[in-house]
Amino acid sequence: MAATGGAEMSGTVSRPDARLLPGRQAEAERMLAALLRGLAFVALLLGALVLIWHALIVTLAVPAYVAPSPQAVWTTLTGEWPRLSQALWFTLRSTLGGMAIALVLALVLAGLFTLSDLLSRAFLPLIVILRTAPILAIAPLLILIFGRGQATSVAVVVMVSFFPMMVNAARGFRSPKANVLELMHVCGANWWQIFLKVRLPFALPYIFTGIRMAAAGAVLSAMLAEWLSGAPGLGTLILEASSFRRLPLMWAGVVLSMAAATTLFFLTVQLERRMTR
Amino acid sequence: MTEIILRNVAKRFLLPDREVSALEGIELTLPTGSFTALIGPSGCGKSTLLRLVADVLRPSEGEIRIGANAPSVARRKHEIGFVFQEASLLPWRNVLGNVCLPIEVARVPATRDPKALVHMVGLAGFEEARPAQLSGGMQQRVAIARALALDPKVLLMDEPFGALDEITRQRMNLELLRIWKSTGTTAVLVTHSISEAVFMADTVLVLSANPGRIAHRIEVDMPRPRRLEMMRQLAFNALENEVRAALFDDSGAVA
Repeated sequence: MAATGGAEMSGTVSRPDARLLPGRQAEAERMLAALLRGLAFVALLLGALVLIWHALIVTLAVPAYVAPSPQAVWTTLTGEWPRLSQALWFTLRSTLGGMAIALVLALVLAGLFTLSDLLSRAFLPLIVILRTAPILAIAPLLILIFGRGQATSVAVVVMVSFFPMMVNAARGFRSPKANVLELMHVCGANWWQIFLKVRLPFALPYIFTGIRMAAAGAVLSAMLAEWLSGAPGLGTLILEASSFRRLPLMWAGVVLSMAAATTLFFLTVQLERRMTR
Repeated sequence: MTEIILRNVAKRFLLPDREVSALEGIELTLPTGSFTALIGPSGCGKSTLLRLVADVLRPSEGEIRIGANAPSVARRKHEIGFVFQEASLLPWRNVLGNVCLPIEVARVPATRDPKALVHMVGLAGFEEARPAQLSGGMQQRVAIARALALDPKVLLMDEPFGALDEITRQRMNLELLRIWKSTGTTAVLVTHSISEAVFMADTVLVLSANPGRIAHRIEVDMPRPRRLEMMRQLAFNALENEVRAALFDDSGAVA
């Protein structure tokens, strides 16, 4: 203390230097380059996969009724595109609709849980029970309630997606430090303002983790629902193609569903990067 | 007039198996525009006392007044500014956005220009910077500017520079005194640095633990503005020793 005590300092204001902050344009360029690198990598990987597939079929002389060649699948994919795209669109609608409904439900419920511990203690066991019920077992019930159309698919996606979304959102809403919440209180903020300005932004990374976890299984659960209800989506198409031994069509469906699930997953990752930067 | 008055205030916390008394029989009057330092061993309830005044906690007993109002009313009238040990900034908002937060929440026309506040705490040119791009001392400057955004009558600080290094801390203390003088708020500073308490305050209150009580009250009759060289004067050392004696007298065996 004595060492700094010599100078008369009571009037001085130290001003740190503001020129050290990174520019915005450099950041945008860096992001674009990363995106291009990512796309090139995916293209390379896909090309390699197709090559290996083709090589295996040729070298092992796999007959066409066991596994079709990439060319046969490609021909079906382009030739039957109207039918395939219609089925894909149906499944995607169920998936996205179900995930959207699940997200809204999860956010509302997890938000309500921040209101009181009693509420979360009352509801959480119910939700866990709902989660542990196997979809296969309650499918007849769901079909009875929602019919054999899209509604059942949506309901199944909601049931499967809701749980990871809700649990993560609830954790996220509790993640702000006590100091920040106390500060908002001292500023005179009400529950809604605290939720909107503090809890929700702090929870965003958690919410996206939930969405990502749900996205991985959402397309699959939509197709599972179609297997059970017979609604005209990719799941039903694959099942029918399989039972009629139309292997190229079945594989085209499989490839499409995988592409859809992967795209969905990476879209959520990208969205997360955008929103939680 | 914004005196802070505490009459026979007690705060007890209910634990699952017992009741813990954090504060008992607190009688205080902090005059308008005064600077008070609270010092004491950890667990003596200094932070609790601050949170009672800020209406973050409710007293179990007794009465608190900020000017003519209860703390809950003063809080809703935006008369209280609070600075925590951690800056507690919102990481996705830039400096200006963080300073503006209380103004947005209060939905009142800004009585103070946020940009001028950023200037006042010495962060001109950093309005657009994110908290992660700032040093600990700079983050605390933002927290102080934020606490002053609604032109509070009362400024409560809970070890605001506790996490900073000694040199930064000295500099921030000098600036805090300058800001306090220019805003005319009634300031309360919780600290566990003896020299900081004496250097900053008009009155140093020494709290004792279990339960927290005000054990000693030491008036600092050093002239203002305070300057760092005062710390080497005999009168300053004598006051430091007085506070030290009061602290160790009461915490007894706790060294």
